[in-house]
Amino acid sequence: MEYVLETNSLTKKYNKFFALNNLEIHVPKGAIYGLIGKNGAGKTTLIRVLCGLQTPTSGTYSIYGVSNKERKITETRKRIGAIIEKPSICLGMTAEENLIEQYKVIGYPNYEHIKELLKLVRLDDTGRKLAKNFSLGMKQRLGLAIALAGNPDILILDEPINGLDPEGIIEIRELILKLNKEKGITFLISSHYLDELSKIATCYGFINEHRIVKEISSKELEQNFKIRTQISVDNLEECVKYLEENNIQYKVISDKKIDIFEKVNVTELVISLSKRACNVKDFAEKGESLENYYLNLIGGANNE
Amino acid sequence: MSKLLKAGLYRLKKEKLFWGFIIVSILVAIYVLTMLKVSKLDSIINDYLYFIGLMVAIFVSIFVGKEHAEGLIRNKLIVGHSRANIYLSNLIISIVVSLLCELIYIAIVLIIGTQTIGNVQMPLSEFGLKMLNTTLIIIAFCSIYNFIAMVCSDITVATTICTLGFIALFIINIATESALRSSAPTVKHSIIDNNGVIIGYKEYPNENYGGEVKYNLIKAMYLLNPESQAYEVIGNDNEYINEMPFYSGALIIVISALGIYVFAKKQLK
Repeated sequence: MEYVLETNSLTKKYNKFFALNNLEIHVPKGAIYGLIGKNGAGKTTLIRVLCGLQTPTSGTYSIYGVSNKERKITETRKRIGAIIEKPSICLGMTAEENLIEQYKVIGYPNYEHIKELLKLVRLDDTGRKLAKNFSLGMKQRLGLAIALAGNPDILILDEPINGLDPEGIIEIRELILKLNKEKGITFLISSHYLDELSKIATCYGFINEHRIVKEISSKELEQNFKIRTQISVDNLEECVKYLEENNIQYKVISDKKIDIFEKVNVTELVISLSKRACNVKDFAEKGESLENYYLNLIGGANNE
Repeated sequence: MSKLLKAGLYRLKKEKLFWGFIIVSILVAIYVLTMLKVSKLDSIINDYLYFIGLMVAIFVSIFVGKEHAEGLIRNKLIVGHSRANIYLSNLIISIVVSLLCELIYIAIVLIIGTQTIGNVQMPLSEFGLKMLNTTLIIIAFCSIYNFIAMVCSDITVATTICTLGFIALFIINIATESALRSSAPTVKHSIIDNNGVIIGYKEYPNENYGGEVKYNLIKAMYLLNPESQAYEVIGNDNEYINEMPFYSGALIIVISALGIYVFAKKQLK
């Protein structure tokens, strides 16, 4: 697998405090990589280091195979676009003026693609409105347009939906999916909104206590999610006998409740148990969420 | 570097603070010409130096501070610009703005003043030397305040430090000027005619003279302060005017080199 971003024992220390501790991350090309971790776990520090805002204390990182120890890392970093914590925009200028300034910073000879870019982030109708008067979602989208100005191959977004209303969240989600699908941009996204992240991410990195504790693709994660059916019965003994006889995985929860860890034919199960003088009182299918997986993982890591 | 300068100048055009200072420069020139009753253009041509230190402190700390506050430095770094170039481009833009304000003041005073007061009477060489010193003083101010604003990420803290810095330079100027006069080898006394006009100076040995080393140390401290240099240019005795460019030059080089070094090591957010 080709990785566009990789770290090797990346460590960042502030005096005696480890912000990153031998962190290893592997972001595959074309992925939407969800970086998950609690506050202070090291997500933003990792992003700052990758963007060249801070230097690692030890260890290395590479962008498209170019190590941070090489001189051409500055040139390679041009392939990155980023929004860190809040969008970097000049509040006293319009959306178009902000992009003109960024085009000048990059050194583009003309501004013909600006209108296209504004249309992409749906800010083409903002006219003379200054960025300071934009809503949070509009600022976020303008920040995204600025990050996209350099035609990046990798976009790093730190908490991109923080503070956005539901409509804003949907807009950003759709934009990320569109850019990933149509332009092949690789995304590294850190977010606290796990449900939202689970809708777009193709792989995950779980960060805890300043290091990555697990990297997993969304497919592997889905396979790990155990779907369980919880039933309430009035004759537990007969129910257990039936499950044993039919080799169905189960776990007794209480004297009336049993979790079944397999897809079952509900009609068949109810009829069969009924014949054994066991009535099914209640029935619920329960799936594991990314949140549960994260909590189990972090809990496990903390208990190690 | 040229890309950063073009982007910076573009932002400058949209910056209200910049246009505010241009208007202030025009108003100061008009005020000096109309309100101060002067007989010689020479005595007001450099008066803008009274204000320039404070003006540079406020402008640079806000203009550069916004780069930190709005994340514009981040945008520049991520697209591959070096920290040294970012530092120098902000310094150059600060110098351009400050020199432009000074130039506007001098142009207005010269154009209107020559019509209403008369021509500049000082020799051309002295005028040229004073202009050179004025330019270097402004660059020195820009170097100091650009250093503070680039190293300090917080715009409020940077503005406060720069403003306090200006006040500190002003107080140091008064203190070192007084120390310099009292430690000089000779004491200068004015010769005044019957009408109270100074017609010359007479020098006497200074009883408090503490030796050459002490005197040169105080003199260096005095001349390394751009605020002191500004008062020297505004004044008429031209005692240190020939050596001032060397002190300004040294200050600009040292402060800028130190600034580039510290900014290169700075952990940005």
